[in-house]
Amino acid sequence: MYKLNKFEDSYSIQRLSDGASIPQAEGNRDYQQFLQDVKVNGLTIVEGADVIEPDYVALRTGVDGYAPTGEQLGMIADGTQEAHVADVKTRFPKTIIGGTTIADVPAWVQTEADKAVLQETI
Amino acid sequence: MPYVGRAPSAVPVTADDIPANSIDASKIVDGSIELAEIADNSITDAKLNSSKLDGIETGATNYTHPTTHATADIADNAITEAKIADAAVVSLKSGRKNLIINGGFDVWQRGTSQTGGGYQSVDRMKFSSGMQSVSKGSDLANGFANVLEVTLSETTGWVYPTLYIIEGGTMLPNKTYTFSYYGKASQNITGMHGHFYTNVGQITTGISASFTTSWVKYSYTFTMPSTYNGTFSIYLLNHNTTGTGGITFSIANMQMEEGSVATDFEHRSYGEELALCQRYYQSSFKTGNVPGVSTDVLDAIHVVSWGDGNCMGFPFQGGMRASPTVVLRAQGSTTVGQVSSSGTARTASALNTGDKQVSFLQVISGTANTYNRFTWTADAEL
Repeated sequence: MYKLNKFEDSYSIQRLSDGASIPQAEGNRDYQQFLQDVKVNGLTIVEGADVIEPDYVALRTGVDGYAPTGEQLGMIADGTQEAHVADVKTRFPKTIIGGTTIADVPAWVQTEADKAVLQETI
Repeated sequence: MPYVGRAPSAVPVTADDIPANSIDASKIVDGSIELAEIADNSITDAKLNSSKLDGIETGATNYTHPTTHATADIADNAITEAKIADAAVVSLKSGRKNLIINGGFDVWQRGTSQTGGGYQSVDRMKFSSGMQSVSKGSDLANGFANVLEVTLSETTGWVYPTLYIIEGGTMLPNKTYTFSYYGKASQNITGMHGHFYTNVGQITTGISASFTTSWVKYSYTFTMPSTYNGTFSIYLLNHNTTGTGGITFSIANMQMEEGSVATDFEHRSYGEELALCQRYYQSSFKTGNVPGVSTDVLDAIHVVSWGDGNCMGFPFQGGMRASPTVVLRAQGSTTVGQVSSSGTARTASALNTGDKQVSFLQVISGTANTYNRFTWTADAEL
């Protein structure tokens, strides 16, 4: 069994039997074995990458959330801080509880597996 | 009237007293004729045996070179390099003649023994069916630095237990190569085979060997097919097992070289051999510590995580053959797929792995802006 990990547009393939990280690289024999395993067993042996959805706490404290403390002190002086807090809470309500979902296995896995040549191993 | 001899006389005998052709060779005492007593040009070429002419000017009429000379007949430094044909120089090769990496079995980065198949012990050697165990041998005869011992379970049927793969581009088409190694077994074994495989199939069939209980050097010479282009696989110890069980095979000084003669084994330093092996496998583990077994703190590296809890990767020691498969373990742990993030083991994987580095580690639920400690292995074997 394999698990995909994704960063931006690149993937790493985790072999669940030993936790190894297999790169998506032609010259890597474990990657070739991965493609052969998919060719023989189908996509059921591959789990898509995790898609982590942040909860409202993470969003409110993230880069699009509350302004830094210094900035908010300035807002207090200006009388705009309450409006800023309200705006953030509106954009990221408590109903956003976040969670992790699993993405579909991308099409390239089957495409590359179809190209793989079954090889004998000793 | 026949000659009856000179009448007695006090006068000494002269040439005139000796009739023509009356003295044959048997009447001449060896060494009795001095060189000065032989008249100039009195001995013709027809009277000379050519085998007696060593040292006589070679331009002389009717002179023929002897077919061979004894070594003792050749003066010191008399034969210059220009007089030796290139093709005749078969045992005076320069360095880097051995195309097999770790042919002396010096480097064992993954461990000094294994009981399963695959690459798990001695570098660059892959083991498979019929293999029971692999270990370092102790019979260091013939100046061997190390010996590889393979014990086979010896159930019935053919086994192909040992494989070495030479990377593509190392050997060339149409060239002649010679493969050699020393071998012995714990009992006499007949009918063993070694097989050479390429992209164009098997090169030579029936490269046989019959191991005895004493070390014997085996060698095989072959010419690479003109269409060869790819890796070159060497299978050793193939044989039809008889079910007798537990036979141990020993191999030492494995060498593949260009040419038709198996020359002496090329010894390289441990550092050189290790660097060559690291193109295919390397790790953060201290020398002698076994990945998956050792919990030595000196095996791990420390890197700092970013605001998102992921952390920076690490460079390899020299470029690897291809982007390798990476196994991570938290410092002091043998559990795979983890790093120690601020002291807590977290699931982690290597991302954006090239042949010179792992760009970064994805750490699930990693702590931001703190230390991450982990060991790593990188495998780009063929």
